[in-house]
Amino acid sequence: MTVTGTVALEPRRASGWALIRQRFLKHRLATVSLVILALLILLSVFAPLIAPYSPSQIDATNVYAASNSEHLMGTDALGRDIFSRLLYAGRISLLVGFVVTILSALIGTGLGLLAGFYSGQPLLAAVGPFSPQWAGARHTEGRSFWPKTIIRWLVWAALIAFVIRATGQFASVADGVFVTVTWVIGVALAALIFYFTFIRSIRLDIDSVISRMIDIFLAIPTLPFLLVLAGLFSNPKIGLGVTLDQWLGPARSVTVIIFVLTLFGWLSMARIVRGTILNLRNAEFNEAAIGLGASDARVILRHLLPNAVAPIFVQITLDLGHAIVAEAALSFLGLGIQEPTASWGNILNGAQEAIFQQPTAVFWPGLFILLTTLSTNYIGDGLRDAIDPRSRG
Amino acid sequence: MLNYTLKRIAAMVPILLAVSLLVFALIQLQPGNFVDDLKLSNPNMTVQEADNLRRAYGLDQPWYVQYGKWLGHAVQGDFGVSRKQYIPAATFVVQQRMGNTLLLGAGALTLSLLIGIPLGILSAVKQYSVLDYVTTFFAFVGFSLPVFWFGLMLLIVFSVNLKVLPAGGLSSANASPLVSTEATFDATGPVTKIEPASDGTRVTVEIYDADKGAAEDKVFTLPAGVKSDVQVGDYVSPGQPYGRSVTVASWLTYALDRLKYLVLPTVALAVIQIATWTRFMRAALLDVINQDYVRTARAKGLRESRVIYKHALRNALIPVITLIGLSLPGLVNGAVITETVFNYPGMGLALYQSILDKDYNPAMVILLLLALITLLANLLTDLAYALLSPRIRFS
Repeated sequence: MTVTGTVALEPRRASGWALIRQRFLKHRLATVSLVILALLILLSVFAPLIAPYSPSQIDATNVYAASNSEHLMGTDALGRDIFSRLLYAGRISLLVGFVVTILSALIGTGLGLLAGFYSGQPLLAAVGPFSPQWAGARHTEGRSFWPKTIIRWLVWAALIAFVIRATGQFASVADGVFVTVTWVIGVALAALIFYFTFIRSIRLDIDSVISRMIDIFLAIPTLPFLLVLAGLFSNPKIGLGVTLDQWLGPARSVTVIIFVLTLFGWLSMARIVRGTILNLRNAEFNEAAIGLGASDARVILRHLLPNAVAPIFVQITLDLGHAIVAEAALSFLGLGIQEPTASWGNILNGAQEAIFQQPTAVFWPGLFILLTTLSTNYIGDGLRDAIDPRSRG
Repeated sequence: MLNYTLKRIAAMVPILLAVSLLVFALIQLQPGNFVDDLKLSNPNMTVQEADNLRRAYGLDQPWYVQYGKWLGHAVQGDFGVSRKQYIPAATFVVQQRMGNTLLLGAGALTLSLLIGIPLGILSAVKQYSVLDYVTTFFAFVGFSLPVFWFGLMLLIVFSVNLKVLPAGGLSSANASPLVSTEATFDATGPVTKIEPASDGTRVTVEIYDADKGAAEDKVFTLPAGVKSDVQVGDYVSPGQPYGRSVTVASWLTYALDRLKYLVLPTVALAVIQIATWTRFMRAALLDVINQDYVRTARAKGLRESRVIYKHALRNALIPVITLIGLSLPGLVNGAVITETVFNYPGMGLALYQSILDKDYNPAMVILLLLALITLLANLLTDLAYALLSPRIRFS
């Protein structure tokens, strides 16, 4: 029986990443995707060297040109070279994609770690209505509980109403009274509903808070809400737009889109990390670490996080594809990256307006987006197979 | 189970409240409002007039005051008026737009299930075959596709180049299931009486007979179902149709016309869904095929088709069916962008336009409706799972 030894001979921990790399490279499509993504990144980074024209060079005598030897992909409504614009747009689109993904990964991982690790432990904030007693952790059976709770809520409601009353401007005294009363009743009602639906049945720990937050965010259909959010900053003429414009100049729309996409980007990461940590928490190595007196931070960062790296990386690749499509979608709808800064989405938007004059111009930006998302999806797939061969399907 | 359902429904209230607060705050924090836009587009409007208008709409107050008032009205079923459509926002969204979106979404869901599920089954049964690799590749392309780009490419191929399908919209101009009746008023004179009868509507027309030099009544009986625009006092003339009605042929023509406009958006919306269902069905079936009871079925000597379709598929379909609920938010997201590309007047297009127009009441209604749909879909998914899989019990 000479066969038996081979598996056991493989070194276990030391070559973990080497093994993953080996298995990943066996996934041909994933390897090809990695090359394509790298190529796209290189093309964008070295756009100034590769692009035959400046992305903003207008040629009024040569608009809507078809693909020819001078203009590889033709020209747009202003006679700008589409190929050059796509290369420069790649810088913005990929930048947005990567920054959003990294920020989402950081936020999602952070919150997921906290939620997973502290799940079941009541929140310690003893402020106002969110005190541990009130949250049902202890002393809830006492007779004085009900009056105390109600009084505390009324105090809070009145405080909120007072702040509103103090800062708001009302048309008349009656108006002020109406609004204040509505608010007190509204806040008290909302609080009671909140109490009965969440806290009484589920103890208020940081996990509940984060999970409930994710629930609320998930209940909002992402794209419609992103439209609202992006619209918030899209007007450079008045209000908030001016402030942002002064701070950021031309980078305004890029920063705004990163912020808006990150706001929704961390949800899936947080859920996945939380789930992984909840599973790992019962693992023996974790209990051993706690038993040896390791601090919370040490347990989380040195023992739990390294074991959650695999799903985090897979999620990052998927998030990257999502972020790039989402940016393109918003820019396509005119609410994302604004002209003259080029992004794949807003080039597509421009091409859509000339769909009858120059149908081919629509094809190219979409191809760039498709290539990027397709390769990130394949990389994710390859990574998943490489990290956990059992999941292969 | 009932207790659990009620609890979940109760839990929706605070979530919807939170969503409404969040959305309202963000909307109201936007620079500029409806009146600002009106003032910009109308140079004759004075500052005083604009201020009056702002006060009338309550736009001069801070957002939380506006939210309090909005909430107060909303819980009574009053969601404000759409300032572009001049009708109540809820009426606009529910009566004029929701049906179109539901039709598009239902069509896309059906299409994607009809294609995706069989493809997934085939792919799993013939794992690692050429068919499996091709299907898997197209599934990856499918969910990597940007919907808006795919929609535009469909437009270019089928509307711009081949010219076989319309480029967008809901239906052809003036398309209606109502057609003029063949029967006409063969008389000239004023309508004196309109009364309902058991077999339709009787319209009495007073005719002046020049030979006799006197007026006499002539009664026309409009069949039931005919919508007539004549009123008492109107003059009818010979050749004027009784009115308009729905016939089988006219209804079919109208339905076909609508269908022609639905094809491209439905395909565009369905493509990601098809990819998802294929992948999911494949994974679910592969999961089940390796179970002991499938091996037992095979060991009993059952035919392979019976093993797959009777034993494996039934169990594999459980997680797939429950996922239908979870796919709804994806459909909704896709619908917004598909409707915009194809200019299809559904909730998505309404939302997009109301945001551009700063006409926020319909936007609030739509977003809350979509949030409600998402929450209900989640609940239904959990309940369906509990019903189909006896191992899961809610307490």
